[in-house]
Amino acid sequence: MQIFTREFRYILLPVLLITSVFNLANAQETDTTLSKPVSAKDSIAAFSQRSADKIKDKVTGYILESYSGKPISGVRVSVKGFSAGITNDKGFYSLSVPNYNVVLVIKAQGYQTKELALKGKKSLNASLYEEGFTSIYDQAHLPLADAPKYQVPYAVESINTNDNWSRVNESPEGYLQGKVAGLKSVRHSGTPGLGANINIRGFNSLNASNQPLYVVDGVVYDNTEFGRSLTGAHYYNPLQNIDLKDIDNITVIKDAGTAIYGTRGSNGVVLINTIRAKEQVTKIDFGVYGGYNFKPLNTPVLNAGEYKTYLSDLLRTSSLTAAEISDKSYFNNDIVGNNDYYRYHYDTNWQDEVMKNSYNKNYYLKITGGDNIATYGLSLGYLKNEGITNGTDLTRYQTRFNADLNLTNKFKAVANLSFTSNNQVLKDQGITNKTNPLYLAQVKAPFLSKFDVDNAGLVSPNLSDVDLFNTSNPMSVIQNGKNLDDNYRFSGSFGLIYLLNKSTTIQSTVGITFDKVREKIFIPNKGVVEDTLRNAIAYNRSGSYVSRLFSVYNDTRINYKKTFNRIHELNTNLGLRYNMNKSETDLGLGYNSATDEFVSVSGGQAALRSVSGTIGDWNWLNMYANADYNLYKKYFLSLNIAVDGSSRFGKETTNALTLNGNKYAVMPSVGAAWLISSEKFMADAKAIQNLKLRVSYGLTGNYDIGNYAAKQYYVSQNFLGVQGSVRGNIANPQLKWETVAKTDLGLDVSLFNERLNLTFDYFNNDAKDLITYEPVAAASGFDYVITNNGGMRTRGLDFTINARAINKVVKWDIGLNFSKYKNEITKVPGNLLLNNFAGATYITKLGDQANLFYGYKSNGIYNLQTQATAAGLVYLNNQGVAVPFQAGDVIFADLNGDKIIDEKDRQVIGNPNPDFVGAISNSLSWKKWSFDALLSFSVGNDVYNYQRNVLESMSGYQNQTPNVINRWRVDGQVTEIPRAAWGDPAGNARFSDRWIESGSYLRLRSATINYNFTFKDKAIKYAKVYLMGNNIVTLTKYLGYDPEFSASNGLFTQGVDSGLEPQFRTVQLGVRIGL
Amino acid sequence: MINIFKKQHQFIMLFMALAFMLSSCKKWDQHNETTDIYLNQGLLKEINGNPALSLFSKYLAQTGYDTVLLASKSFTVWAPDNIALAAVDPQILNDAVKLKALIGNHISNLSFYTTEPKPSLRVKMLNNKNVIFTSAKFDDAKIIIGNQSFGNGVLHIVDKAIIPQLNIWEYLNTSGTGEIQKEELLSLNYSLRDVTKSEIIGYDQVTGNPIYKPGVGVFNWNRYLKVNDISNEDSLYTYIILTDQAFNDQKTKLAPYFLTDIATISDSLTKYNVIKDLAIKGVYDKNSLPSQIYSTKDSVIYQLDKNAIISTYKASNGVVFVMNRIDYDMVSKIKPVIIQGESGYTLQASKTVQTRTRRNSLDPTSPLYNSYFKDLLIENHGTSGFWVKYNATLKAVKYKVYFRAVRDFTLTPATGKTDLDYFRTRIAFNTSAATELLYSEKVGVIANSNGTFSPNYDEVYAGEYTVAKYGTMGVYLVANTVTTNGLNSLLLDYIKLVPVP
Repeated sequence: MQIFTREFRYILLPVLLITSVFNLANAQETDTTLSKPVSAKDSIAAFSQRSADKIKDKVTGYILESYSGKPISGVRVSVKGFSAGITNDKGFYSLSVPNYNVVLVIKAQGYQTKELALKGKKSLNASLYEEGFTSIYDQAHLPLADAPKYQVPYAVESINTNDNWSRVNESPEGYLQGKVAGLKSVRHSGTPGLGANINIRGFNSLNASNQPLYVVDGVVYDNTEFGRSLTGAHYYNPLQNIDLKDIDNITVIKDAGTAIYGTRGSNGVVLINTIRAKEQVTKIDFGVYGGYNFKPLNTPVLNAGEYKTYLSDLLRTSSLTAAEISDKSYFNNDIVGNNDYYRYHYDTNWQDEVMKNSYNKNYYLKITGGDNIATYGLSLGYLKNEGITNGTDLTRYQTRFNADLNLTNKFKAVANLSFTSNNQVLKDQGITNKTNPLYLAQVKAPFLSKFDVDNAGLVSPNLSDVDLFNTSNPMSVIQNGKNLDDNYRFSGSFGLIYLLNKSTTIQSTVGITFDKVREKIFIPNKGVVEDTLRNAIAYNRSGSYVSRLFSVYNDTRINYKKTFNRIHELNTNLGLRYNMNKSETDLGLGYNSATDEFVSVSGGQAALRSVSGTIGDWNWLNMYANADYNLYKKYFLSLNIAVDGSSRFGKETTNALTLNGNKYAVMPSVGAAWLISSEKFMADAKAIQNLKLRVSYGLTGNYDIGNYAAKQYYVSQNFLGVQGSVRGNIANPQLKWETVAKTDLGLDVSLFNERLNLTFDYFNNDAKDLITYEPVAAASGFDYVITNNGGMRTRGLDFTINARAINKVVKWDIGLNFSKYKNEITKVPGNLLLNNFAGATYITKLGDQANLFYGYKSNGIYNLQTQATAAGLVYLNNQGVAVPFQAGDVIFADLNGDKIIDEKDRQVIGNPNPDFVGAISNSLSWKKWSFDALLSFSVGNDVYNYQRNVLESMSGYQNQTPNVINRWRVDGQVTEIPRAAWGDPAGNARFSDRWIESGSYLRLRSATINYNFTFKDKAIKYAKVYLMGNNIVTLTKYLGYDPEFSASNGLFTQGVDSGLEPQFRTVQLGVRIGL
Repeated sequence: MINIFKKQHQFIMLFMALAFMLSSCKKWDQHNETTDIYLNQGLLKEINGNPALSLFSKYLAQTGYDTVLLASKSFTVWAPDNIALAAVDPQILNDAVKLKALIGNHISNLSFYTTEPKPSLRVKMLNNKNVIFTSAKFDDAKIIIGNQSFGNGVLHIVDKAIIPQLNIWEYLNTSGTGEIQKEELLSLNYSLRDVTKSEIIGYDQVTGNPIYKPGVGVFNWNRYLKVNDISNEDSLYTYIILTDQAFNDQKTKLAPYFLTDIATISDSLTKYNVIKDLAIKGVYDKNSLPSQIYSTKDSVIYQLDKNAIISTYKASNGVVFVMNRIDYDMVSKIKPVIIQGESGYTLQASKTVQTRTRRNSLDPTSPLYNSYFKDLLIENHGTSGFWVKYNATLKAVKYKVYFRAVRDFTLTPATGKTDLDYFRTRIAFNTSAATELLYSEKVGVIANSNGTFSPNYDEVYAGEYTVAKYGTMGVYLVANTVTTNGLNSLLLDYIKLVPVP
């Protein structure tokens, strides 16, 4: 198979090139996408003239409105490039056709567009749904051309973003959740604008990116995270700079159709098109939104009384004597003689202090319009969204200007400009246990006050300092800490399209992106536990960080498109893409400024200040050729090939195309489809509107292998104050891209006049040459070398069903999509890979799935000492001495039977990958009312609840959940909860299935009620009032704040609840006014 | 078909929406549900609700311990049942102070389960007394029902009320035995003003000193208790009370060693020394006394005879033996005296003095190589009979005099000689000229049979000296009577005086 693939791509390349050139030479008249819309009048004239030449066969029929059955007049029915007719009052049309195998195109304003095959019939009736109906006839906006979806031989999903005015606070990735079968979108956290981790059809890489390629208005949109935020668990999400309301449509390519993007296509491609004027009339839309964010439910933790009781029991297991414990002032309830009485007798609900309900608001203006020379789309927006962590918010200013210019009859220009600026106030999240307010709020002792309290109980307005248990005051972090992230992105592109002749166009697009992120942080001394540096204690900390990206993109291609004898349609492209990127990050850290008032790096001690940065430059060159062919619009064939070069590839890569000493990846793909429903033998199967069988195969690649991993580089090193350079890596000049061979078998079915649509896809992604970090001998001075030594196979299926359940005055569309995948490691160095994150261990083992949780299996606890003695299991303490488990300890499975519970007894205890994910969508409309609801679900994924691990480990001063009240206390006590033990010597809280929970959930992701006021002959055309809800209800057994989170886009952080801001419920009211 | 589906679906949707609302709130409740209902219940509620503990519950309310038990921390209650409490002397029950002490003697902070004593635990009760707790017993009471866990602690039901015991100091002050001993102990009381806790009511017009409010800021304490705190509930002593007769016997026995010129001082010293070493760490059983027992602090070696014990009292912080006779090793009582060479009092004249830190062995393989001592070295002083004076408090007894000097330098003879130049040194008492003890010749050196020399790490006997009166005395280290450098060096690790009673 592999050999075939290699041969195949080398053969395909010249074939395509020759075809393209040949076609250019034979260019002759036909329709092109660029030809101006044929007006009805012209068409009828043409028809009259032609009919005068020759009497053709005629087709007649009625066009009706689907839900009312009423005839629609003024519908344009045409045979492309041949004839057209208009329906009369009764919906009747009559049309001459070249033969009875053609396809009729039915278009009407306010209704969907349909393309129906005659299949030998002489009359064809059709009923049309309203505009915006999700249909197989929708245009899919593909990288090189637009085509109705039913003609595309690839697994493509196209989304009409009609609901984008009612999903105001969503980033585009979050919006994609539940929209496409096979696209799994897991939002990173509830932090506004943070976006989501998107995997199309599972993952295809271990260490490189698994994120799809985003192409916005034809220009590759860099969405990678380079550099690292100073704020814990925060990531810069460039996609948040695209306002959802600016998006006209989104197309997702899931299979080998992405091969045209060569080594950037292995994770799928998401094509986004932003506002364009659909008509020349000036349309002004203005939206005002305001809403309320609800703080999540608190994690139940012990109150002050319960906590003290628990603590007194826990301290018994420490080295303190009973008298020392009883003497602790927080256990002393005597006001007299206890100076600390007031200080330690509060009952503070820290979570209520740290989390709060908050507000969001959004103003948005969109203007589209133009004339026959130029059309434009313009938008302006302002958004302010407060987070649920006290003091956090996101402010965004955004503008976009898109224009289409008809310079001459043959010369068009397209300009897209956008600028977005974000100012965000953040707080640390994730495993930053000294400064994560959410974590601190859960674990901090409830008997303490957030303010300083004196011996007499008088409360100061000053926040209290680090407490006696060495826990930070979360309010200090919130009020005196600073985490500011100011960023902006400018994206501009300009394209020229030249119509060489009626079949051939040449076009070129140049895009420029400039992106800058500037972060400032300050962590105060008072109230925050100090940090330990290599040579000092850091009392307060400041940081300043700038990251910049400058990229230039060019896509130039020549297109040849022609229909031969109305039977063969050919559309070929030959093009070149070039992408130059320059990135730089600069980081300064300061420590120990004189007071907490000096918050900048320059205020820190000179000796401790550190400055560092990175530079990353990389280029990408992509030569591509494509040919789309169809016969009778029944048989579709698509061939693509891309030849990719990148500055990242090694110079000594084997099995690669070499041009001028540089290595190129050759990525061919082929897609074929058979529209069975257009065959004559299907003419009588009236229930079947559309039946299409698709198959595609191709190679795609991933070039996210590190800018300089293939090269030898040096890094600076400070040794006793002397600067020098040391080797930074072991170069691997043979390093190459990752390759994913994608196979897809799909079936599209549309029944009962499109009332029921089904899509089914089976896929197999075979990834090889995956980037791996291979351990090297210690003598080398390095830990690992980067190689192409991994492989995996991901198989799965996507399924979509859309139905119009009610099609009367009340219209109800219901849709369900789900997808599942399962992967298998086919190659990994040493046959085994272990990765750690937040105390969790992942195993990636040959023949098994990637990133499975790997830990200990527990089976209750020893309720009796005799039981523990009989079991005879021991653990090794930190001195290496074998200590027997005792009553109250967890019974861990002794896998190897050596009676010692150690690392060898670990096994797979969970899988962070879901069995399947999907969504149920509902759209109900009645007169001027409409109601939309989207339910998303994820089933069968396991979650490691790190938070609960801390909150139920019973080993330190951290506050715990009330679950620990059930802890084992005395021999024979019947309970499942182990004993409290200071420092957890027996490892009862170790990474085990005790903390693995089901992350399955079903969530009412969004719901909108919309009322549409229309005004006749007024300045205001319409006003739409929205009542919207986000994350309204979530049904889950998961105990953490929220089952949906993703600590990063990396594979080996998935499914670990490390303490991120949870998703929260939002309710918004909005008005959209149309002028 | 679609229509039917639709209707059901609407209904299902509504139902599901409601179900979500409810279930999402309940997930934690289920997880945190208390498996044992008692764990959500306070101790007091259980005690008040248990009919077998109605008396204890009543007394809790009377003594105010009921509110204490409501506090949010852990307690352990060893509750005597009604039968047990009915057996308690009504005199105690009717006395509010005694009752409070009694009830407080059954409650402790923190949780104690019967699995914890291995084999026994001394648990501090809320009345500040410690009670011995074993896996089956609470002091003498049997645990009928143990280890009942509640929200704020543990309940054990016991079959006997444990009357709080006096501690040794309290017993001594109230028992009426050992009156002379008690009188002597009380004579060591003193009072002290803590200025920070005192209240100034005015200033003396003449001296300007503050005048304090009487009775405020003055603390009473006892010098004996500072050393052996037999009043501390957390300590554990075996304490000997001497009958008056035995006390007088001891006084007679010790009097010669504390002879001074002033009779009252001699008397006082003797009496103090009689009582000084009567506390022994730990609790000893009268019937299984070891042959040697060491007193606290000064480690006097006792050989206690159980027949001399005329009564025993089990105190809350130990045991008291009332004895009519005690036997001990006199050397351990009056103690050898060690005078460190480097801690001299004065010199004959100002000279350069070296205080050296030396190894106890020059052989790196010896375990002694890493142990050290400090000594004194005075060289090249050029004075004949140069001396160093030390002060020592000596008892009126005959002492055997030893000294240790380690000469670990210049151990090869000078060129042309076969023998070393030695440091002749002698020790003198009272005056430097005293000659009871003779010169030691080859100080700090051992002459080996092969003609080489080694440092002498052993003590060397210098003679005997009898001290006539108890008191501080000058002890001199006197150099050779030559002025030649190298022949009159003074070298000393220590002088040891061992009494010969």
